Parts: sequence; structure tokens; C-alpha cells
Amino acid sequence: MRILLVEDDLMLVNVLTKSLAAQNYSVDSVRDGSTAWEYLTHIDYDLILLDVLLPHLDGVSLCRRIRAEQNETPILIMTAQHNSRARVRGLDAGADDYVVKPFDIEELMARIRALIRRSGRDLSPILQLGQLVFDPGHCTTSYGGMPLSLSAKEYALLDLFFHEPNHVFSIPELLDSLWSSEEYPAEATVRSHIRRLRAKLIDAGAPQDYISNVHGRGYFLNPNGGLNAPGKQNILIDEQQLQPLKKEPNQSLDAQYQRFLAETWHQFQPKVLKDVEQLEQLLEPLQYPQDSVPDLDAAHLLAHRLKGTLGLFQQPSAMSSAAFLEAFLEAFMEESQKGSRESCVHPSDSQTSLSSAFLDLKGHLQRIKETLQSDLPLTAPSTPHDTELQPVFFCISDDESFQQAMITAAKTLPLTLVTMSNRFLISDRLWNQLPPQRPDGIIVSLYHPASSDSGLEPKLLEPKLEQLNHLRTVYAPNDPPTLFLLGESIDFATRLESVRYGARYLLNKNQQPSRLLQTCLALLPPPKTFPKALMVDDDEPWLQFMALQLQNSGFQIKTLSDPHDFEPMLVVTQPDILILDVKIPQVSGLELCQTIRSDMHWQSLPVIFVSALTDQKTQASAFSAGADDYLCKPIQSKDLAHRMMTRLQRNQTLMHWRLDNGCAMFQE
Amino acid sequence: MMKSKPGATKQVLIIDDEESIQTIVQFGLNLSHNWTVFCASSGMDGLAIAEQSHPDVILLDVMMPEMDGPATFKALKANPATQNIPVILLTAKAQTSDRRQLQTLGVSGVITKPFNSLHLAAEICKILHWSRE
Repeated sequence: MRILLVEDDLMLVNVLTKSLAAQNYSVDSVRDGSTAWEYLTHIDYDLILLDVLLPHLDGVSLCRRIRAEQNETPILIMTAQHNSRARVRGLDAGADDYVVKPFDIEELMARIRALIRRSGRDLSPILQLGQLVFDPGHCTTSYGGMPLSLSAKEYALLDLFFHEPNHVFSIPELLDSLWSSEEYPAEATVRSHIRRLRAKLIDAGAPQDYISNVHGRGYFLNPNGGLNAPGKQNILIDEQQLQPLKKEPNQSLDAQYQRFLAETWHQFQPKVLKDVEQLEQLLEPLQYPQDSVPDLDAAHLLAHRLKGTLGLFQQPSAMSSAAFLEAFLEAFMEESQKGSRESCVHPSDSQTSLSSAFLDLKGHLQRIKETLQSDLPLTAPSTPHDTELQPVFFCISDDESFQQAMITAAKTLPLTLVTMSNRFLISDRLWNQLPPQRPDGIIVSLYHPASSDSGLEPKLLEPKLEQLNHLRTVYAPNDPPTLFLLGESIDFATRLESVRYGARYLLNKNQQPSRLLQTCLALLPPPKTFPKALMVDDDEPWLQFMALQLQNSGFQIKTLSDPHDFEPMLVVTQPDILILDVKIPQVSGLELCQTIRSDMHWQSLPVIFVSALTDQKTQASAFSAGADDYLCKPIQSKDLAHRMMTRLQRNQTLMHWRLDNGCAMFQE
Repeated sequence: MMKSKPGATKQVLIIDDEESIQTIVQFGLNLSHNWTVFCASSGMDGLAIAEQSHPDVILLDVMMPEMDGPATFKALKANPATQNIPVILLTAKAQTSDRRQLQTLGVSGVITKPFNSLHLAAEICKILHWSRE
């Protein structure tokens, strides 16, 4: 549930935001009416909490405007005016309810719940299935009017059964759903929780088999108590009985969607950032309208596209800036067509005003960039606690004992393992059953006659691998998961064929599953980040030019032309890679390199020299000073970016192998 | 191009030059209703896919480079093979007046961006008077 809070009193905003967040609402807060309007034109809220006295556009006028747009989002007005006239004005303008300040937070929450309920936007304030009543808002349950006193785990169990009524849950499935990977209870523990839950339901009057067991398969919720024969395929309740759930997509869909949005946002962030930079370049001529003519159509299209994309990814502040840019460009184009370009924004003093408008535009562009850069993917390794951030692996094999061993091993590691059979490689008709989450890695076992594993047979490798490669691109065509093949012996031709079809690593299958998974984990490419590079060169124009180009290639660049500031800059920047010139006045690049290499802390920092000196002797000196690479000027920025990226990846891989040198690559 | 999935009830073609929007629409429609989604990144590609696949509905972005939404819509209507496919415009223009103006083109409906693509199928059903899946 998403709420827009429109309030200019910061203290109240803080209190309300915290209280609403505690009730699991997500809140966007804005401080004036016109910004609220901007948000509302782009984001679909479940409720608007609106102050009356607001800067720019007051609450009552905003309310009227919202209703004029046929927007029926519930509006709750907060007013400090006690007289009935003020309240009547608000209600007449289209508000659904009001509270008078100062108000009781609990009463406000109750009114919000009531409004959302009445609007039909709530999934279900209280769910009912026969005599079982489930109140997710308050985490309470009752059967036949008798409150059930459930432990957290029992509640979670019932919640799981309740929300997937057409599903028999196996014990491993329950373990995976309700226990974290660091806990690892025995199956008996799960059974004992189910026994206790069942006993409490029976005490409250539920039939004996209210939670039924299908022998060899698992447990399910059976509200018809004994009417269904266990083991039949169509054993479960009609989903129509859960009508409240059908009103809107259920919460797990929402969660999946939000997760997908977040993943896709990270995937598209660099592209969006490039669009912003392109827009910035297109707008540059506006600063000097006498000298150059901007490509307004292209800039307008770009601003429009940015607005749509940022809105879709639920970035209201950045989207609002993109909307401003679009509106400005629209007005500017109209005025340009009329032949009075300068007067479009500030008719009085054309040149000065255009410059100040340009500064406004720059400000908005900067805001979008900050949003994009502040929300970069996390680079910290995931821990067992943040399972949402854990890497996901698909393990494809028909060998059940191997799959089981992998599942057991995965429980002790910070990763999520999804096992599936080779059927997924035979036909893409099964792909609609694939989990929605993009895997980070796919592990596939190759067939070997001496083993019991019916993996991929080398003879059939080509079509299967083609299918496998296709499968990898289903989730993210531009960023397919890493493919790991496992085998016991393999010839060069098969290896070549595998690599051609996208396999990244061939690993020895004859090792402990936990070790195997650790290896896969270590070999995953690092999360997409913008590596930090420090560039030291006394040729400032070259430095600035190259920095700009490298930024476009996804690096964060710090430049330095005076080596005296090198040490503080190095400490503050903590670069991922260092680019040095050889000839720098006073302290040479070679000396800088030797100095940092004398410090253990900087041993693994990749250092690349870029110099106009092409002779062998200088290059040899650079390598003996500790350089990792040496490039000669002139050099294309793309080539340098490529070298930097490759060096970073190699370093990453080497570090993993140093940490875990027991992981043997597959040997013939 | 994606193959139709077993159990999928509707086929949707989205014509939008923005890859992120294609991705999210595809995911949302598929997740919420198991609909199959074809994607085209330009008006010209869209016309070819529409003619070949004959989807149940076309979601058409208004602002695209070269051939924009209205021009694509006209071309779809001019072709007997595609003229009966309902078209819904996707636009970031949120004001009522803009929506009304677009509606006058003869499209089946207009959906304002940004949207939650999990709710998109319901919106499409409402516009086209399809009974809910």
C-alpha cells in the first residue's frame, strides 16, 4: 500500500512517516501542493494524506484538481481548523474524510484503514475461509470466533497454507519457506509445529483433518474437513472461497514484482544515466543561444522517455525533475516556433533569464543523476541474513541424490539453490514454470557413462547447450547468468563446444557439493558497480577529456595533476584501479607506483601506466616498479576502459583463487 | 520471438522504444495473468509483428522516434490484416485533455504511464470489456 503524504510541517512528516511505515505502508512525502500534483500525475497511490494549508497550491484546491481528473484515490484531509466550515469545504472539494490537528495517531491509522477498505483497494483487511478468520493487519487468527494463540512459526505455517490453498506442501518446501538457511531444523521439528498448530485448531473446534496430510507428499489446509479424499489430484478448496484474495494480485506477486523492479532498475541504471548525460549535452547549447542551436526535438524526446522510465521504476523525485525538463522544452519549442525563443520562460529579460533557466535545468539534471548514483547496486557480499540479496543458482540435473546433496550443501551457504530436471532443456514449453527470479548462475551436470548421473550426453550436447543458452537469455538478454558445467572427464572438442554455447566454467564434479557451490559462488562476476579510478597525469586537458570518456564507460573518475596531493587523494578515494603517467614533474609515476607497492594495503590495487614513452626500458621499469599493465599514448578511451575492466575482473578472480586455491578447475 | 506459452490466454504486442518498459510489461502481464507478450522497439517492427502474430491487443507508445504512435496506429488500421486488432495507447501525458485528444484518434483506450504492470492486465480487460481471467 502506497500513501502520498502532503504536509509542510517537517516534525509531523517525521512522526507520520514512522507510524505509517510501522504499519507496512510505503510513504512518499512532499511539502507543497504543486509537487504533490506532479507526483499524482505519475504515480498511482492507495491513499492521499493531505494538509490544508500548503505552499504553492493549498490542500482544498489540490483536492478539487485531483477529483476533476477523475482520480478516485481516497483523500484524508488533516486540518488545524476546528470550525465546520473548513471541514465542509474539504469534503465538498472531494475529500473522503478528515482529522483535526492535533490528532491521535491510532485514530488516524484506523481512519486510513477504513478508507482503504471502503475504496476496495485493500487486499483484505480480514480474510475468511469457512470458520477460519485471518487478520494479517493485526497478525491474529480465530476459528469459529475462538481466538487462536499461535507462536510466530505456527502463524507463519498457517499463513503459508492459507495463501496457497491449492498446494500440498512437502516438508522440504516448508523448511525452505519458513526457516532461514542458518537454521536447519530436522524434519521432525516441522512435524511437531504442524502437530501443535493442528491441536490448537482442533481445540477451537476445527475438524481433525483440518490440516491434512497426503501420504508421501506433504500437508495442506482442508477447510471442508474430511470431504476430500487425500491423494486425489483435485483435493483442495475452490479458490473462489478466498474471494478477498482475488481482488488484487496477492502479496507474493507484489513482492515478486517489487523484486523484479529493483533488479531491472539496477540493470537499466547505467543506460538511464547515459540518457541523462546525453540530455545534458543536448541542452548545453541553451547556455549560449546566440552561438548554437540545440536539437530540441531530440532533447524533448529524451526528457519524455526519462520521465516515463523513472516513473515506472518508482523514482518520484527524479521523475518529477524529468517532467520539469520535458515541460520546459515543450514551452521552449512552442515559443521557438513563434519566433520568440528568448521570451518563453522569462519574457522580461531574455538573455539573463535564459541563463538562469539553464541553471534550473542543470539543477534538475543533477537531481536525476544523484538519484541514479545514490541507488547503485550494493557491492557488499551478502550475508545469510539478507536472503533477498543472495545469489541464486539453478541446478539442472536428473540425478536426485546429487540434487539432494546440493540442496543440503546450499543450506549452509549464503546462496539460494533452485533444483530442476533436464526436462527444462528439452522444451521451452516448460519455461512458464520457471521461478521469476533471475538466476545468477546455472549449474548443469554433464553425462558420464561411469556415473549414475543422467546428465547431458556429449553427443547431444549441441542442441541441449543451444537450448541452455536460450534459457540463460530468458531472464536478462543483456546479462545472462553464468553457466557452470560439471563433468568427470571431457575432451577438448566438447570443452570448445561448451564454451561456444556460453559455458563460462567447467568444474570437476567429483568434489564435495559444498565445495563445489563455494567455487561457483566465488566465480560469479561481481555485482554491477561503477569502479572508482584515480588518474594521475600532469597533462590536464588529456586528463579531463579521458575522465569524461571513461565516465561514459561506467567508471567513477577522480583526477589529479599535482602529485603532491597524491597520498590524501588515494586515501580519500580508495580507488579500485590507479592510472599513472610516467613523467610527472617533481615525483615521477614510477616513484609513486613503487611507494604504494611498499605498503601492504595497496598490494592488490591494479596499476596501469599510460604514457607517451614507448621505449622498452621505461616499460620494463614500470613493471618492476609494480605496474600491472602499460599502455602507450595516444590511446582510445574505449581501449583504456576495456583494459581497466579486464584488469579489474582478473584481479577479482585471482583474489578468489588465492583465498580458495583448493578449488580445482576441471582437468582432462 | 517468444513462443506462446501453454495455458496463456491472451497475446499482447507492446510497441515501445524503451527496452525497460517492454521488460516490465512483459514480466507483469506474464506474472499476473500468464499472458504472452511480444515486443517491438519501433513502429515498423510493430507493424510486421502484428501482421504475423495477430495479437489480441496492441499496446502502443505515443512518442517514439521516426514512426510515432499515431502514425503506427494509422498504418495498423490501413492494413486489413491488422485493422481489427484493438489498440491501447501508452502515454506519459497525464492530463485529461491530452488523453481525450488521443482518444479521438479512434484507439480503444489510453493508459497513462507510469503504471504498475501487475495491474495492467486488469486495466486492459476493463478497457476492452474482456471478462476477467
